[in-house]
Amino acid sequence: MNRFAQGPAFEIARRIELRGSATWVAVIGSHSTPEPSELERLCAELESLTNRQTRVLSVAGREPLEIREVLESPPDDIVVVYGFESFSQEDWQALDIHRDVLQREGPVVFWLSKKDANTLCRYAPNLRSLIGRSFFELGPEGGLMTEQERTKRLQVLAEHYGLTDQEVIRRAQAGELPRDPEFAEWLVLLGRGDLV
Amino acid sequence: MTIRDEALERAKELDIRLEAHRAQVRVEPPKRLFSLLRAYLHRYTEESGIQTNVYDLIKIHGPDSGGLAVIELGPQIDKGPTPEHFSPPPERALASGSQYETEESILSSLLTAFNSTGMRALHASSCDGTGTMTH
Repeated sequence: MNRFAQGPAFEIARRIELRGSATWVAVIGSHSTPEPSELERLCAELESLTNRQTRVLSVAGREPLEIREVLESPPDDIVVVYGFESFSQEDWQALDIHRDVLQREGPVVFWLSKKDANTLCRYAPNLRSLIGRSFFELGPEGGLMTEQERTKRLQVLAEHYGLTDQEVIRRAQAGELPRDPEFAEWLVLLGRGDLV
Repeated sequence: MTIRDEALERAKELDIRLEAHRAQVRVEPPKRLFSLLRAYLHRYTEESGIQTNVYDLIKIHGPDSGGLAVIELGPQIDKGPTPEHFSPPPERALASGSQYETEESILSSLLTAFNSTGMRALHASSCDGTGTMTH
């Protein structure tokens, strides 16, 4: 399996929300161990959309029974499991045999690198079957304002108030800018939030 | 004291109370709040049966080095309905934009809103950390 469906974190969270409890999903990141910002983004979307607490669990160096114990405390939240870089072919096969340790009331999200995902598919066929088609490559963050959108919003403000960006900055520096929210937005969009 | 003077006095008192209330509002950091808002609107559209893709409408810019971010939903200058508007059912009102300011990692927020009658209003908003939003 070399190609995975790509989606931003909120799309992955929506799928988990739709599927409900006892769902297994694999998220393909750039590395086996996610960057803190990647984990934060994914957990924020999962919690926001599902209204479930989300926690992370590194499986590196843990025995299957220990993993089960941690996953069951509590059993109904969302757990993002990562740290498979140290997994050998034998470790995957062992986890495949003892896959019941991963079965719980709440969703399980496997954080994998592409290499981890391919190894899982090759040596843990039952796990792969349980995850099904729910392998998703984490895409770019959605919802960020584009440069075009930023420019358009600035143009609308300039036309409405009959002011230039420079004049708004000058008035803000002079303490003459009205406290209307639109002017705060104007300054933030210009990268001059320091003047708000 | 005339009626006008009394009205001005009451308006000043209201301003002070609103400002005090706003200063007490605590919300999540901008990107976390953005996720909560988007999820809230997603659920809202589903429950209300609105045919709107809220993921295309709500946008965030920032936060900048000072921690300020702008979260936008629809046009900032309201000139009547456009495809860029978030259009709730007539009896409901929703925020159209917000600005955030940070002070020692504590954020307060102010939402500008257009209600169903087109009147502009200010709403304080808070998130309780469990994903539940209050307006």
